[in-house]
Amino acid sequence: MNAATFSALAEPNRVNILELLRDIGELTVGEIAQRLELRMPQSSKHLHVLAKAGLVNVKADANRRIYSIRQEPFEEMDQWFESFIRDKEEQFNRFEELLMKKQTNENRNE
Amino acid sequence: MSKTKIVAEKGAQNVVISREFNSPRELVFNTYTDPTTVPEWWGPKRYKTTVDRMDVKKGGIWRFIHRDVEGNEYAFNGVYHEVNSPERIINTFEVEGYPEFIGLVTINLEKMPGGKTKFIENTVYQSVEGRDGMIKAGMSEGAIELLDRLEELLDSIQNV
Repeated sequence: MNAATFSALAEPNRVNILELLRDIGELTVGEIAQRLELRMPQSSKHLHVLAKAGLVNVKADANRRIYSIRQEPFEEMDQWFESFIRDKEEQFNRFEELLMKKQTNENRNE
Repeated sequence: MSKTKIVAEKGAQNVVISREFNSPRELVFNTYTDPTTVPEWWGPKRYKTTVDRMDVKKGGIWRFIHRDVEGNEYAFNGVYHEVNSPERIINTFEVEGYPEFIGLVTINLEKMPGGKTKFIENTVYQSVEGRDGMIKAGMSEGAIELLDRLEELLDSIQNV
């Protein structure tokens, strides 16, 4: 986990851009600006920060630049958040296994 | 994604941990309170758990011991304050040697549609510091280091 990721995320417009890209897939700067009612230079600036933090991919298509989500940092974040409750999660997983075992036995005895 | 949810509001003394199980409430309650199966699930797998005492009734005492691969032992104990099958258990939770971290645990089992059960554990500690210490104890070292770095980063952003 990289603290720069959080720094890049700490801006509401950038969060909106990421959610838009997540839902739609690929978009150009113009399309993003239009959908979020932002000015083009403002959108470009935010996309530049997101690209620098490795949160989005940029693909050149003729003279357009197409943006999409880069999955890896989000997977890392997910694992990082999970590491906070690792022990409890492991305990509940074991408890669940036991419940499943008991439930199977009960059904067999019926 | 993790199936367990944890909510610890900044500056509060409690932690709420919840999880949904695909089993009826009676089974969850009976399994949770069965001393013979506690060693199979209580705590993380890397510890061997033994039940020293587990008298599941008001005023009854529970005491579990964790042993790690090096043979170090850690004991936990508490007293049951309410045992109301199949919906609620209230007990204290103490890590032996750290009485300042004692917590009061309320477990509610909510009946969900389709024979499912929602397990909600609310633990109130004696201080915010005590609660934060207990949360940190359940984290991996890497996570603690990253959390400290994140805190520093947030401080630096706020001070700009």
